[in-house]
Amino acid sequence: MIKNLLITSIVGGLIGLDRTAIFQTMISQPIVAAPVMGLLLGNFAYGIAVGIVLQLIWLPSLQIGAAIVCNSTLASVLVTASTIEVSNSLSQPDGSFTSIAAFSIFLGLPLLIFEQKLDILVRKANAFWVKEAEKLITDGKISLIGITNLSGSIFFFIKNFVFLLVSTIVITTVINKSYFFLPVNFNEGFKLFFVLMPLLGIAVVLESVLVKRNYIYFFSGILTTIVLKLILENR
Amino acid sequence: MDRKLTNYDLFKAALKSFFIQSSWNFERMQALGFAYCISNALKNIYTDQVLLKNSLIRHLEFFNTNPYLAPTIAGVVLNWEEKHAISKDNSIDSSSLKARLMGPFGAIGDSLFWATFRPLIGILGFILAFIEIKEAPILFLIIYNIPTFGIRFYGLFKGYQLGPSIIEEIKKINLNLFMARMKEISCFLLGLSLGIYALSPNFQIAKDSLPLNFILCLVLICILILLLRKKLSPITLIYFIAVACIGLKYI
Repeated sequence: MIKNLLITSIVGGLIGLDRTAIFQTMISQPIVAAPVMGLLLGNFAYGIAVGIVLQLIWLPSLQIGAAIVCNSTLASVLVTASTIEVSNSLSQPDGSFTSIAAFSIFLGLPLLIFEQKLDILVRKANAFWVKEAEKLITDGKISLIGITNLSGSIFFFIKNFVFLLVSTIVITTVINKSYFFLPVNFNEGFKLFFVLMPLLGIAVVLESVLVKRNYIYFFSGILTTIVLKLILENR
Repeated sequence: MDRKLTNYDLFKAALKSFFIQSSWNFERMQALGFAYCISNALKNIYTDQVLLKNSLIRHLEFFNTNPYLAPTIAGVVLNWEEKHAISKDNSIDSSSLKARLMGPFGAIGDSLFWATFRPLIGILGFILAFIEIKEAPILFLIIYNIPTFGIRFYGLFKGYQLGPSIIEEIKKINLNLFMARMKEISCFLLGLSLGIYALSPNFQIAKDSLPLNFILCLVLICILILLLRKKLSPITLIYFIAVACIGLKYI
């Protein structure tokens, strides 16, 4: 468990840097971050399932200017890691994966709200590096600007690392201790909840892009899948 | 005008633009990252250390824009810094030019990339993963990053080549039409997503009845969109759905 915790915190922390601090290549999107974590923790299929469920939900959330939005990267890493860890420790059949993943999402969301507060603190702290850079430039140490700039991303990484470490321990412990005491209806409810999550994602993105003139494209998409299914069935 | 910067200098600046948000903060936002991005190029422009220091200190002023278009502004700034260094004309003020460009470029970049292109490719990645293409994450990264990498490098080189007149070149591109087309494709892909979801055996709400499954999915989507338009956040809706699902299993 400690090895998996460290992998989650270190790799998840590094992937989380892509969201703001470095690159912005979208490796931080759930559809990439979750499968990567799944692969590293020994279950790519669980990772991809979590990625599918979480990918669309925060896609239209725009981190513009000073706005801090929910961290979908850390959410996907946290849910994937917790689910794999709990599934391994409880030795549950694959069918229970969906209820464990849904339970992880359920428990993880309040922690993400706390993570937003931490993110704000890191961004306030990063003002220190600008003042350091001014001193270095004035002293003629211009080549050190690069290290000063990159030091800001160290703050972001530490925040991601600590958050993932603590959150994964908390969620894994809570689920491990409570899973077998949950009524069957709760587990079945969580399974249905996991099944419905992609619909919420579709609704969220649709709400942001759907205008009257685009209805025809939306329904054309639905019609295309029906036609393709009929063609494939009649082959 | 004799160029002081080589293509290699510009290439290095474009590479450094990937770290433009490393020390993002509320006070100066991307300022330090921007200064870092152009620092090596400025060393080649200004042989006088005092002028170099003054230039870098100026570029530590507040700066924030879309990260994919920030290299274009960097190119324009380098063009003007070079003119300033050669002509020693103090009326050439790259800082105020940078301040005038960051707002419009931010608006263009955020609308184009965050609000339009990323959702489009995100939905495509979702579909590829849903139909069990294992390479979906890699395909998503490749399709997303070819244009964004291209814009970073091309933007910086063109910004340096054309200076502020790059704005006229950007005005010639009908970005609104381009974004409208991408939103149409996004809507089509969302329809595909819903269709694939309703037909998927792993995601059946109404078992053994595809038409009922389709209708249920459409009804649920409509309800969720209505709730979203009432300004309920996705997190609130997630808990709403979780509680509703658990409640349904008790009925």
